[in-house]
Amino acid sequence: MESSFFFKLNDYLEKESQCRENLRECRDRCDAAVRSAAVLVESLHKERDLSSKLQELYESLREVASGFVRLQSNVPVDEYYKYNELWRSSLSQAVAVGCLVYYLDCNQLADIFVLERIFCPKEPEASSVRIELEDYLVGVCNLVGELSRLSVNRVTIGDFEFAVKAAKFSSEVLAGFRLLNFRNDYLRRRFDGMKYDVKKLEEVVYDISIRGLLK
Amino acid sequence: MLSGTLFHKDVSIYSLFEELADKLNQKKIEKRERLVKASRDVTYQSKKAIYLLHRAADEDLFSICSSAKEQLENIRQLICKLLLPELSAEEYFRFHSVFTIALQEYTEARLFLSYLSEGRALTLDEINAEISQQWQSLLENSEEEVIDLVIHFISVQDYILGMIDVSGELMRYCINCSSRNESKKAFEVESFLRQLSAEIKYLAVYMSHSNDNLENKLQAMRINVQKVENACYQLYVRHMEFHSKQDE
Repeated sequence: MESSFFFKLNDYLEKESQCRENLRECRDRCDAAVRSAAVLVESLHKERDLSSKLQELYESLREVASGFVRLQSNVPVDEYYKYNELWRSSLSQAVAVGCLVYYLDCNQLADIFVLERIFCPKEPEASSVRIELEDYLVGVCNLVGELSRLSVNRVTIGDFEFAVKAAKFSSEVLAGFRLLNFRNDYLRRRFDGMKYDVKKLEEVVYDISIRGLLK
Repeated sequence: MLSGTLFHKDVSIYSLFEELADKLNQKKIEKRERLVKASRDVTYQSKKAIYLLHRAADEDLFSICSSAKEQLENIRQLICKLLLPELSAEEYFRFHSVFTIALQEYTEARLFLSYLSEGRALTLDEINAEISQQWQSLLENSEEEVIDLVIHFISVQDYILGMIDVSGELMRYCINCSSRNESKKAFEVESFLRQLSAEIKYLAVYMSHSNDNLENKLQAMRINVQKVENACYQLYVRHMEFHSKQDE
């Protein structure tokens, strides 16, 4: 066999592994930004006035988004799906935070379009973070998990209204998910876990309503 | 200014999900199913071609090879008619995990044939060129340019994994030859296979991330090489013994 031919293959594989390494570094920077946004979310659990934190959260999301835009711009043309496994879970985390902030702000579920606008409000649409449907849906699953925790903690600081609203919202999301056809993959398993989060949210509402804490 | 309120739309969660369900079905799930089916066909046909080629050890090599050639051409037709039209350049990697096995299997069959008929392994470019040719002959307008996707349809990874698999077929072929006492053929396979496995081990260094199965496959290849080496050793020892007895 000609060895020049093997050199060519070797060359290709080496370049590919360099590209992956580079993307991995970018991804780690995104992760750091997502973590600092998550710290802000953590502070919501005991904050009396939720809306006071929103501005800061929006800003931190833009920070997160700029990391992802940089990451995705380093992906060679047409090879998005070759590498997207690298950042899927980080991006889903970012989606969850984005959805949470939008929910607290507008009381609605953000769709992909809205998230793209939240992430990069100034940029034209095409240059925003690219969010795949699956990553978005996993993010929404994470959102419901976060809401169930938040609901418990809001109750302990006397915010009962939040629990009621979050339970209603989450059960609507759960109903929405039931419209989807799943393959037996990661998303499916995340969805299977969602009903426990919704159950928890409902239990909180039950607890406060039988004690007559709701007006 | 809170950014969120700017894009406030009054869409119910239910209708949002209805829309998403449509997208998920049409774009992802249905296409995936079609690709799974097509890949299964390609895999099955490739396996059939490999079985056919194994008969080359005890039947007429030339006629077996020419009918295998025909089978492989049919497989290329399947690839061009069922797999290629489903994919855009970007979707290639999205669904690559679905059809990679099929491409590996085809590569394996093609390499096995090329070893038997030409005594060498075809390069990746040569294998892909055959697919491009097939694609072009199927195009109604022959002026149309062959797109990049077609030119590189079998990826480097598919090719290398197919090559690792062909070591198993070569091993079986070598054992068949040695049991029929065709030592020249057996020794040829041995030296070819040893060279092949050395090259692959070198390449595999950069592939570790992309395939979980790679370690197992490499292990299987090592075993194959060893089997072939042992078979050739036995052949050699028997020959020497036979000749020395004749000399006495």
